[in-house]
Amino acid sequence: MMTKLKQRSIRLLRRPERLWGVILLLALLVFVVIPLVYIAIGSFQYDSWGPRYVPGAEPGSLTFFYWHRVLLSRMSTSIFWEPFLHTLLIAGLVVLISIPLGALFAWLVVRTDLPFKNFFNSILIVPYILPAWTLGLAWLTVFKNPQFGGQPGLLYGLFGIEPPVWVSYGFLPIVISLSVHYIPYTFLLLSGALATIDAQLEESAEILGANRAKILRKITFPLVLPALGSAFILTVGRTLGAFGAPAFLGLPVRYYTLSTRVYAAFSNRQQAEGYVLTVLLILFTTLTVFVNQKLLGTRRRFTTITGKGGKQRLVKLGRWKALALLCMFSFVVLFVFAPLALVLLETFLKVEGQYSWDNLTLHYWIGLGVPELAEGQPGIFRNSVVLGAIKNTVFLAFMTALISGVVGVLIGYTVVRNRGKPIARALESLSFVPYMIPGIAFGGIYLSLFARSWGPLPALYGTMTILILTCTMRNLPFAAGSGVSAMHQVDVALEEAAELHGARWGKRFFRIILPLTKSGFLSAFVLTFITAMRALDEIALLVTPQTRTMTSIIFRFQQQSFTQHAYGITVLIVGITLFGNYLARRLGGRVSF
Amino acid sequence: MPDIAIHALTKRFGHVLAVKEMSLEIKDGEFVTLLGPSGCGKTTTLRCLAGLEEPDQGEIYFGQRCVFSSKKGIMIPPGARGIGMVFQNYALWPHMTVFQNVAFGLAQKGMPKEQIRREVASILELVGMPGYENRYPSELSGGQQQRVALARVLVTRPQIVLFDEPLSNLDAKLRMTLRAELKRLHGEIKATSVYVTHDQLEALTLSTRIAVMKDGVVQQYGSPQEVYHFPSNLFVAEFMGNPTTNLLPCIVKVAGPSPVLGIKNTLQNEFVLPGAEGLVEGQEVMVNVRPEDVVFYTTPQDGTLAAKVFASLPTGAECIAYARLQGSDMEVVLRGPEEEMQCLHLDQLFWLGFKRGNIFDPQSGRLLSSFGFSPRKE
Amino acid sequence: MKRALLLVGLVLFGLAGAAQGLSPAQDAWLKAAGLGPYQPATEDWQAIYEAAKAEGKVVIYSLSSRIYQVVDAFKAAYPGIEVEAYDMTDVEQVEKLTREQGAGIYNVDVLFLAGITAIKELLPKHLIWNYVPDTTYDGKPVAAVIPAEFREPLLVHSLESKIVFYNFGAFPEGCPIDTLWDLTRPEFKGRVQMKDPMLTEENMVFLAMLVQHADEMAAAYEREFGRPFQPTPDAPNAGYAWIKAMVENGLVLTQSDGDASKAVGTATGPTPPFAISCSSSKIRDNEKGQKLAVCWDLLPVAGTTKTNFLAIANLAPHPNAAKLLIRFMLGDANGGAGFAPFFVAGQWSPRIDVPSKLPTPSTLRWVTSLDELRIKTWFYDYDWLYTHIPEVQDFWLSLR
Repeated sequence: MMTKLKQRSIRLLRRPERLWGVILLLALLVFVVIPLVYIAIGSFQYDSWGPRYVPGAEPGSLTFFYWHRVLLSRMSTSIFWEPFLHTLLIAGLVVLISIPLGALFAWLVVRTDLPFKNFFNSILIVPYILPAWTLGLAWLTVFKNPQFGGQPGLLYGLFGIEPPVWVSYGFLPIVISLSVHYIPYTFLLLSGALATIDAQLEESAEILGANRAKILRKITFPLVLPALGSAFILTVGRTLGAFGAPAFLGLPVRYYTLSTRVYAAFSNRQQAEGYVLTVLLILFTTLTVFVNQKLLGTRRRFTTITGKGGKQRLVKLGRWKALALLCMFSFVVLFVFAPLALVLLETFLKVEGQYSWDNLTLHYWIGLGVPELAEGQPGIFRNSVVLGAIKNTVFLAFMTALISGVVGVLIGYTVVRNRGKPIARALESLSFVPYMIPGIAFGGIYLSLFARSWGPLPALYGTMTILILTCTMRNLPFAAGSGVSAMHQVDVALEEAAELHGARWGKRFFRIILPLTKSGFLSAFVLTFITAMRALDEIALLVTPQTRTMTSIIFRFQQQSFTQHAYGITVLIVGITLFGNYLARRLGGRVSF
Repeated sequence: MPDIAIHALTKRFGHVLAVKEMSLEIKDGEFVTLLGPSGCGKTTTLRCLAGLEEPDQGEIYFGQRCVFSSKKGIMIPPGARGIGMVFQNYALWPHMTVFQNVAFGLAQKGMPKEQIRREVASILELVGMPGYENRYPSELSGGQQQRVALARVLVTRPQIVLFDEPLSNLDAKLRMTLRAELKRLHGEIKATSVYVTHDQLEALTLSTRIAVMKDGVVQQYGSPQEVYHFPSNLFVAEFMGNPTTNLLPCIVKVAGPSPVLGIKNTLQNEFVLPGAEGLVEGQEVMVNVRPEDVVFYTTPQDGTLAAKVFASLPTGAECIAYARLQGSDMEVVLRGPEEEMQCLHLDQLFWLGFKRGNIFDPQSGRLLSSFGFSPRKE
Repeated sequence: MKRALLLVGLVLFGLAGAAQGLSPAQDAWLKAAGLGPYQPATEDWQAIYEAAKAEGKVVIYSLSSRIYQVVDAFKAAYPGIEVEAYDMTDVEQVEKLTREQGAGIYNVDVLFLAGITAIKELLPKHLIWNYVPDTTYDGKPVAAVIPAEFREPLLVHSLESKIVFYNFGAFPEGCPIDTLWDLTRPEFKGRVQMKDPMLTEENMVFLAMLVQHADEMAAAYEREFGRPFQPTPDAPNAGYAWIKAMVENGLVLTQSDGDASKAVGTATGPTPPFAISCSSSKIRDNEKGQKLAVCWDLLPVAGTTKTNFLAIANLAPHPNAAKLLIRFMLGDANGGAGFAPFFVAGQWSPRIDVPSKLPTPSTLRWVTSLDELRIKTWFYDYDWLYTHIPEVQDFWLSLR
């Protein structure tokens, strides 16, 4: 019996794709499944605040107290139900705005004779590349109400118009920021789908007498439905857990979402409450994804990429062309150029909010500390805190991208080589799980779990390692996805030929597989790099002063009203991010996710 | 059914001239094939007929009706031309059932539901797919999908049907079967059909007339017999036939009713072509002989060429032999029924003559004369 | 996490039971560093300096970013010792310390923080140790210069009040309101700002202490409105009622004290905003041209006063350097170099030999002694606060 088991395990392990499958599965178990279980359990235990609510409570003992408090107590409305409602409303509206707009843009750019296609293709991705809260910051720059401290926004500063509070903060700007931020998702997914639809599918309908509108409705739309479904899942999933925009734009008016309540709980050291909220958030996100999958059926049903696939004819816009161009340009100017310009401009103002020539200065960039300005904080490039953060951020982003890339390729390799077998399915599903977990919760979970040592794993609290780990795991769905699709391009026969020549797995991997997936790997690398650079949600709770990143000090500077510094670092991140994206596209990668 | 008239059709893609001032007349009920290698303009012409491409110049008439004229500025959209089109990739909508696919055109015309049901059922019967209404395209094989695509086109009873290489995605056997189907259907429906393919065998088997195209220009437009036996130029001669025809560069040694020709650049290889008239001594010519028109003798004969076999390929019903002429590098292909050829062995020496063929001018490629053919029937 | 709690629980148990209940490692460290029960009555500062130089550096977590100005001064005064300073909020410090110590990581030496958790959790659990340097100020020993209440249970570095700011440009005669209840009147709707209490414990404490002193709030209410205060189901006492009324009167929440004070100090025109529970040391912004002034004579109280503590972290790696830094920050005999960045109007030293700095303009009504501060503001009642803040916080959260 034992020898049979041993034999089977040896056979199992001899095939490298199976061995890797097992290793990766175990790793995912440790880093994905166990943390989930941990917080689920944690939500049923008293934390350090326990005895303050319930006299005599023993920290660590089991209880339903927090679940009751969050869901049923008289506090539940403020702690959960209202923020939950806000989250739903925001997600609902964001989807309602960003998906149709994204689809419209995609259709205009891909299927009509709209000019400047290349320009729009590059520019329309920018709102996603920018950190989500950049638009929020820019919004505040324009609309900040003078009542709310700090300097008033542009509208008030230049025109004396005091915008109503509900314009400056809360629901409206959050929805607008997030919608604009996620339009590129839909745009990209739909452009991809629209571009690869076999032209003949539409031409045959045209020959049979259908007019343009009917073709759109009966042929084109059903064919892109899977892409729309993906866009929906991605947008909803991300919006539900969005943290940056609701934090900057909602907290000042006590407009909470689930994610900001999670942050509030964890940052106030009320762990158990945070766990409960996290579990609820994850459950809800998962539910949404599930429902969406069921409604749209299996995602692989339609392959629209067939054989030659004729060249598509572009719809002539005729007299609508001018209007379409106007709309697109307005969108781009309003939501891409203007915010960036505003944020940049702000960094040159000595006194924020005062827009006059004599108020311009380079102090916040290269000035030495002066007590009257920003409590003596030196300008960005002379500020050791900032420079340290830049160093940390670059290191974090680089390591995350590297590890992510390699893990992604390995997962891709394992999944594709084990196609159809349960291990491939398990890996793919598990790799997608981190997507359900909002970034802020991720941070909280990893903080609780890995702060201390576990057997061979050392305590990771306060190290760059834990940041890298969190960002890598958070990025797993993307890494796995690109790994899988890159591996799909590599014919099995190529590797088998090498195997027949006697090459061992290591050699095959490094000499055949990696070079062939090189461009996919590189573009994924660059994209992960820029994503990790602007990570805020997942590391907000994990950074310590030694491991501060650019985003965490932006947050801190904002809180301390060092606006110019905060904006300046934002500009740096934006610059690096845009450059990185440019690089990725030169390397031939398509931005996905 | 209308005829199709194409006048001086020109279509450019960027710098590339895909179709050059092409004029063609297709009679009502004909099955005309546009044949040629890739890039010859055949698909472009077809799509111009369909209205899926807008030509730069020219005119297209379906019967009396002008569907395109660059002079008059007429460009009738595809849906209004009364045509049907079968695509290479079937273009079946994957999210609709077979029934929904086939019924689409009828629903566009506003036909009542009951009638649609009947029409769809009968057309599926016609194409050999009865009872498949509720299946999805992804559940069907390639051949079945193409039949459904055919059904979808035919159910609307179009007056003109266009085919864009519909069989090239299928395997060899299936192609043969479907070719027969297409021929049968054309016989029943009698729609004026224009067919595009690069497979000359397909063209020969299906068409009433073939337009051989190269670089946007029609090289020859005639019946399969004409195009095969009397190619108007070297290109057509080479393009038709499989295996490729024999093209021998020769010099006329002795003129006359049975001229003696020698293979160019060789000393001995001389042969006689009885019936090849109108040749002048010293003239350089290209002799075209189809493999099946090569006769061979196991003993030396006057006026024949000596050759040695270097490969022989039995195909079951017949045999194809590749031989090299003695004293030269020239290769000759011959084919014939199995029992006659007894599959010539490797390295076997034999003598060959040419029963019939064509003679071309090597500079211009034009047909000079043919020999060995019995008088043509019109 | 569970292990940390277990350890903490054990320590607590140990405390509750036996006299000290320290782990052997802690005991050894205390002995070597000369801290806790092993702190000598007289300390040899030269030896401490030598030991500190050997240690090479000191790491401090500070609740104020002004710590960076102290760093340079310290390095000038004590060459050979590096200072690694990090500014973080109180909560962040508690969090970090708890996690690090739970993970067995000891990399911080000095904590400069305020708040309830420091006194009620960190200290009893021995995550921090109190240290009062044995030093003299003009010959007088520290015990004579710093009152006992500011040496035990934790050494106080400075005091800051959370008070109400008004703009003296609009109100040159002085504070235009006489009680806190004034601010609930319609004419002040939307004109009062405060840093979000959910973001900082100090502001939640401000609200909580109003609830603790509900009787005084009720008396002020009667004085303001001429009728006795009536509690209602959603406002069970005058403190809660005030909080509710303020929120309903459009209380504006800001992200920082600075935002609120700047809004007040830079306002022009006849109806500037007010800032409540704002850090008194913000008045130093008047030197930049702002027009901040404090309502010191408000009823029932001008505000609360918090004490900023200096403590040494448990098992600190550089205890001698830590001692040196703490002494320096108190403002040692060489002058006030270590205290200088904090020697501003609105921030008081616990040392009775350090005067209260006057604001600009010096004609503003000001509190100049700690005794007066004690009368005008409420000092923290840690015990009450520790057990009652959760319910005040809950009340706050439930306000819509």
